[in-house]
Amino acid sequence: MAKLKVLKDGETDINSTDISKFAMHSDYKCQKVASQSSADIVMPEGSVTGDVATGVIYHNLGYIPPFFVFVEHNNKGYEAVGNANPLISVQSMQFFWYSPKNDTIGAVVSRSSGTNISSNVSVNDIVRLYNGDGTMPSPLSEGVNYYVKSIVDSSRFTISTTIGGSTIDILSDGTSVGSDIFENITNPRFGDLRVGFNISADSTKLNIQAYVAGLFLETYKDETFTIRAYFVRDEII
Amino acid sequence: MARLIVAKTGGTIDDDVKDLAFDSDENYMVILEERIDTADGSGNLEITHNLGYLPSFYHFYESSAGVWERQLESGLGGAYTDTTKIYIQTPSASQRVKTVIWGNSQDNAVGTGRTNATGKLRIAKDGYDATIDTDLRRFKFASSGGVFKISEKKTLSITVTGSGTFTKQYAHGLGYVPQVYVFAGGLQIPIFQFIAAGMSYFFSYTIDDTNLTVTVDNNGGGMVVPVTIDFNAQILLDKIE
Repeated sequence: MAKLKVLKDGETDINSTDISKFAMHSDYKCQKVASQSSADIVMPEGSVTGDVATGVIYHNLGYIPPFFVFVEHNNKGYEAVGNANPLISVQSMQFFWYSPKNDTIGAVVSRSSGTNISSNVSVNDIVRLYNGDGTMPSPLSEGVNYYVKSIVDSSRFTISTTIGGSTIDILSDGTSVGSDIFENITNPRFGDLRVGFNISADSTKLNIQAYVAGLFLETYKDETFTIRAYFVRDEII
Repeated sequence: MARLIVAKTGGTIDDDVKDLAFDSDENYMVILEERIDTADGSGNLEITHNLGYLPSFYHFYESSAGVWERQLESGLGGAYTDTTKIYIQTPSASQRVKTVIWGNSQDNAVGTGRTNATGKLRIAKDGYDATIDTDLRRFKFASSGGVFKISEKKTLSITVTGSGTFTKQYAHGLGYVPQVYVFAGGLQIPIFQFIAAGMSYFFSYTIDDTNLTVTVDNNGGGMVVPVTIDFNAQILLDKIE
């Protein structure tokens, strides 16, 4: 029987028994893609640990296919680890922060506890501050971009309104109601609040469950995740 | 439009499309690059791709010599891409990482501007010209990197009866370390992972040149037991190394 073999670039041995050298080989099935589709899932503001948001993406193959899934959040495309389910994490880049009432009123934003702040922010990083339902320390505003001006020590840093600009002098304590947090926009890889995903397929669709995985935190704004799935033609079971 | 159908040896072109070796009416994950790198000594790896879009990608890391692993859930960081780089965190400081980068963008957009569709045999997507177009996103197939080939599918069932580690092994018989994609099925919904509370469980699998091994690590009673979890594997002929 005739065979069709197509070598990859740079390969010359058409009789090779190493299948990895071939772009295609008629002795074997290529992995085919039946469809690709996406869905948005929104984890709403105020979600707390264990809260769930769900979504589905239909493939309608009539059997359970393998799938490749990616989760886009803040212009980053996360690999859904294992390509399957269960508990992949997407950082929601939040940290506790305290207004200066727990410190000396002045020019610093301080971290309450946990990971050394110098490991999580760098000079010129863009950060945003949130104060739950409380009042922001003057003259700071919630949810606007500030720039890390300097790192004072392992738990404190100063901010400015522009890169390298004047250090903002914090004039009042503000009040703390709910989560006091800051968001590192520049480097969101290390965060305390995480949204995990359970992703699994049945014979008609992909079932996606997003949930808040961090303890003692709540989302301070809506978080939208775009789930993108490629469904492989071949059956997995 | 012309169509290229390649029957699998022993089959015919009238076979179900799943059973064909190739069908140009289908779409494919077109391999742009396969590479092995070593994390930077602090458990991080950055791979520059400069594609200008979010590419589909996948990775395995070497957990011990000749043994490659995937965790079916991640701790901090995981792996993500932006429009210029892929960022991968590894469990250990200087682990080797196998990364597959496909030409397909994560959103399946058909873009232009790249000149990465090469190879003697190229099949463009409908509406595009394989003799003119150069962006791999406009192609179903390019022999420069080709596509993955399937060895077999296999289901490994693990019954978890309590706290502890449970494994199931399958001898794939390939004599090298193949790429394997494992999907957990039959999961309890909802599932929560409270790592900070010491309640967690982890699914992972390893591949070496002999076996595929799937592991459930039920730490702290995170799972409602007894429960049987089916791990469905697609074993490829393509190598990790």
